[in-house]
Amino acid sequence: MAERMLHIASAHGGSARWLAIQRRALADHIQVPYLRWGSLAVEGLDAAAEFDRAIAQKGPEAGRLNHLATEICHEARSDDLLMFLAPDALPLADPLPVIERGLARAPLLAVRRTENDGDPQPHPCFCVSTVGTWRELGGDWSDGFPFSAPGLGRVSDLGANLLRRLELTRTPWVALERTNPARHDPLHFAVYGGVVYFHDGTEIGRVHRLEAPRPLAGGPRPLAGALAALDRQRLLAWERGLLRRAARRSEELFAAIAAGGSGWPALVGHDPGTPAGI
Amino acid sequence: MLHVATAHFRSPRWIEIQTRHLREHISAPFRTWASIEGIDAAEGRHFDRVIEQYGSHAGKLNHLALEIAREAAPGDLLMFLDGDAFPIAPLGDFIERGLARAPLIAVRRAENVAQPQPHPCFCVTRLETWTALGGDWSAGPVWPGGQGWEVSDVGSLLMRKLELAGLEWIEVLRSNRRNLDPLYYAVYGDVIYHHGAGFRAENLSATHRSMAPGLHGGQLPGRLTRIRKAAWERSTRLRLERESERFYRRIAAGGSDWLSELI
Repeated sequence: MAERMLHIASAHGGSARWLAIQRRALADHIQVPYLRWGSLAVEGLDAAAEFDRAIAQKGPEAGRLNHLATEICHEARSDDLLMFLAPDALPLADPLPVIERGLARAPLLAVRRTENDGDPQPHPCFCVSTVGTWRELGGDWSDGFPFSAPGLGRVSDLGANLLRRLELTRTPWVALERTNPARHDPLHFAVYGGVVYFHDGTEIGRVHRLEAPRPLAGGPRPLAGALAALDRQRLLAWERGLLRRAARRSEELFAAIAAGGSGWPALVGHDPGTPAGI
Repeated sequence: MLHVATAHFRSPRWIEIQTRHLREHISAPFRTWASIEGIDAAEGRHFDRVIEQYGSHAGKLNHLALEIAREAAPGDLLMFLDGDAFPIAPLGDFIERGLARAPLIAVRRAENVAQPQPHPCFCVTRLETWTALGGDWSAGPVWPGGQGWEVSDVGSLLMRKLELAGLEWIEVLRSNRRNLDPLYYAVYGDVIYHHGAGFRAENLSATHRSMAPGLHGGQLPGRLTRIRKAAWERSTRLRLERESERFYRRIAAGGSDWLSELI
């Protein structure tokens, strides 16, 4: 009987900047047979040459991931492994031992960004299951189902409907938590389970919003309109500052990662001896 | 049982109209499941179940179907209906005849630059079909759009899943005899009205953008073309908003006289 295959789904979309880095990291750290499934819409680049299976697609991330999984599930065997990997995520070491330990305990293993104001749901930056489980579950990365963010109230986000499906089918899952210190940012430049790095340098997360300037509005009526306008400007300035700092740090780290070698994980405080935590 | 899944967003203006038409035109037992994000919770009284949810339109519909599947029987019917869509004629026979021919019936907005995919403004299937298919309203798969580049939209992944499963679907097409607009104020299959300019109309549709007069290429410098295009889009949006409001008021006034402008 043929060895089971690992199918890796990455929706790179309109940017090729992580493509070579991710390809190299997968080649360095994954010892089992694998197929890369992906999408890429960059002028002058042939997606078919970049992936084992290139899939033409557009639209929001959840739909593109669901689409990749649909195509994989159509072709793959039930016992094959299905891995979702964000374009700017990469293994720092062989993830198979962690995957095997995780899947021995539950049918699905995924990053959980608890550090993002308590996110409870699986995150598609790194998630592994079997094709059979994904089919039976009717896996879906879209948002919709609500959860409580302690600092911001009721919200939904990527992965929330998957969380709900897991709950309703009483399917347990193993959460991979952040294992490096939040040295540069509370959310970005994260290592999960000691084996996967997720760069994610440009998003303003819920955990960042906790530090946003408090609104001044709500004062006496003649001033309320002016205060609301001032609040919008203050928030905009705060967001710009945050994004500027994040972009600067992101570029510095990206340059170090792109240069290759094994030293860069130390820059984000990763200790190679860190246990996976599962 | 027929389960109607509908998502209203920020405005309650279609709720009473939609639920009144459902009562008028569905004679079989049915249950309404609604999302009312950004709307006063008191409006929930119009529905049998209100499901708290946030986020994208496709994600909300997927989530509604998930909650319905938890409670419903596999043979029950599942209907997706946009917040600004409602039946204008008895639906029972229409659905029965459609599902006798194929496992899923849905609006196809062929008038919107030849969109090929099922649209969630009106779609009916059985719960067991939806579940077995892994039904999903997300965009993702692409097709060649009218402007020469590939496009995707809500419903395209459902279309792909139907293709891969080898399942046929019944297309419910626009049946207006009179057209106030090429896309909005649509009647489909003579049984469903879809206002179209209902909730998230900040951007012009591809159909409306394709009507921009002589703005592509020509002798004008690029910046001037962009300014003219922006001005045209602004005035078109305003015109569409005014017309939408006028027609909404006719519908909200009750009766069925307003249909004479369409059929």
